[in-house]
Amino acid sequence: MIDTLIEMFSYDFMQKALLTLIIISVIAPLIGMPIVMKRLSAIGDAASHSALAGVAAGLILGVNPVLGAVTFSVLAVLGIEAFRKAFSKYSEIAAVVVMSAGIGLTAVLSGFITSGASSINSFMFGSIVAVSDFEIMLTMGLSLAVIAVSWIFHREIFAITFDEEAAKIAGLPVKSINFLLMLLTAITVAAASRIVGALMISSLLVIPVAAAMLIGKSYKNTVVLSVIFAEIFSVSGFFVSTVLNLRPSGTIVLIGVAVLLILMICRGRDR
Amino acid sequence: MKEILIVKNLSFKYSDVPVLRDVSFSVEKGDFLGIIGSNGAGKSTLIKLILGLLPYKSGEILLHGADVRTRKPNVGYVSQKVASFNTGFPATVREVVLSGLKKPSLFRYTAEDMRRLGECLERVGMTEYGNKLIGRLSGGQQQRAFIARALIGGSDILILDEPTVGIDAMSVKSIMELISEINRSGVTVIMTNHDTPTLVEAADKLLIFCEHGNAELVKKNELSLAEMSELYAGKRRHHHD
Repeated sequence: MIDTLIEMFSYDFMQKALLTLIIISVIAPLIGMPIVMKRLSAIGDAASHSALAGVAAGLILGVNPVLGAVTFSVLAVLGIEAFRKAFSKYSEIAAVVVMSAGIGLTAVLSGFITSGASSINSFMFGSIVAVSDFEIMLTMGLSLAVIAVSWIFHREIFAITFDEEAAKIAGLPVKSINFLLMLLTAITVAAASRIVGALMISSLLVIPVAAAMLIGKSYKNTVVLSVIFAEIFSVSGFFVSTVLNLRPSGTIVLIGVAVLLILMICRGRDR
Repeated sequence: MKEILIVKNLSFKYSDVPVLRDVSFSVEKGDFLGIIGSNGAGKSTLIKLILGLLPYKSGEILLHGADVRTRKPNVGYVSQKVASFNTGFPATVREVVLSGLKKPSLFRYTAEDMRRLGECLERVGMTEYGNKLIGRLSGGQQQRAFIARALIGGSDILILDEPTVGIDAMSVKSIMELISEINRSGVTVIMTNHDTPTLVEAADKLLIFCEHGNAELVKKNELSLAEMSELYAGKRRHHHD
């Protein structure tokens, strides 16, 4: 087994894929935390399904699919904001409408793809071998930008996530920070969709945060724990999938769900 | 005495429904103003207008001499947060209070920030609860933390909108004592409360909302309780000298 792992990780693409996965596992819970706390987890799903439509559009137009995913994902969160204003008392409708539009558009556009049809499939569930050097650099660049912006605005993001009204009265630019948060979510989803898979990314946004919430002792501690959990899920899932020849994204998600269930059971016993 | 808040001929409508009609009053530095009136009388609307959260066209609100429409008012604000609070939110009392700082430093809190944190926690009697998760505390303790958050910004005016909603009777008493103590230290207090007798007892001025969005300002010792009740019910008007 060790020999298999050593052999696999002697390949350049495997090392790059692991490094990208490690960075994605920092940004997903970093953005997932305020999204979960604001009870907007569905936005991850809406953005990821729209990212798939972007992949299809990219393949049709001959543009890099990751760039297509970023563009459509950003358009999706802008659409969510517009729908939230129109249905201010039923804001959950917004994410569902945009997600439905994303699925519909993906289904229609996929019928026009003449070459590289397997790319759609690889974006749905993630693919390591299909990732190009350009996509790895793009994903790394976007991830570093998300980490930097999240760090610079971490106090504002906390204040607005905890109590939007008080933040508004304190003079914080609530609308701008909320928009920034949506934008970061879109970028995170699109950046991660190549490796983790568009259908899997929202679980990486939510499951590490859910696990961390069970044992977190403060907001800061919960954010740090959620990043640690995401790293454990991804790296262990990546190794297990390599050894057992499974799909990495699915393995990562299933390990995450298993750890969450174990923590829930242990916490239930402690009570 | 210096007037800290001046409201002149303020009228406000939600769509076509008038809520406030030609309301005028002023608050001096160090006052404890209680705003009372029946449900839907316009108390919370007035608070939102003072805080600059609602736009208005008719009348004027000057806080620290500046129009609240053009300059964001620097006030400490405490809402009914306890009643609608997400107790699963994993934030400590310390984190919540520090979020009230007006301009926190980017990388780490300064020694001055930490000194103010310690001072505010001590002031509300929550020093030993700084590292506790706020969702695990009682309603009274949570509201003390929110009062500390409102104080840490260093404003000399504290606005409280129904701060005792969702809090048990014993804690209501101690919260009201805390608010009176803060007022005695020189902070101007403006407060609404569903529990009118408790507010009437604590405040030294009362803005009484009558029917049809009219409001009258009275000093507590100027009128008897019976006269205040009549004013509250809209059966009489109070005339200042």
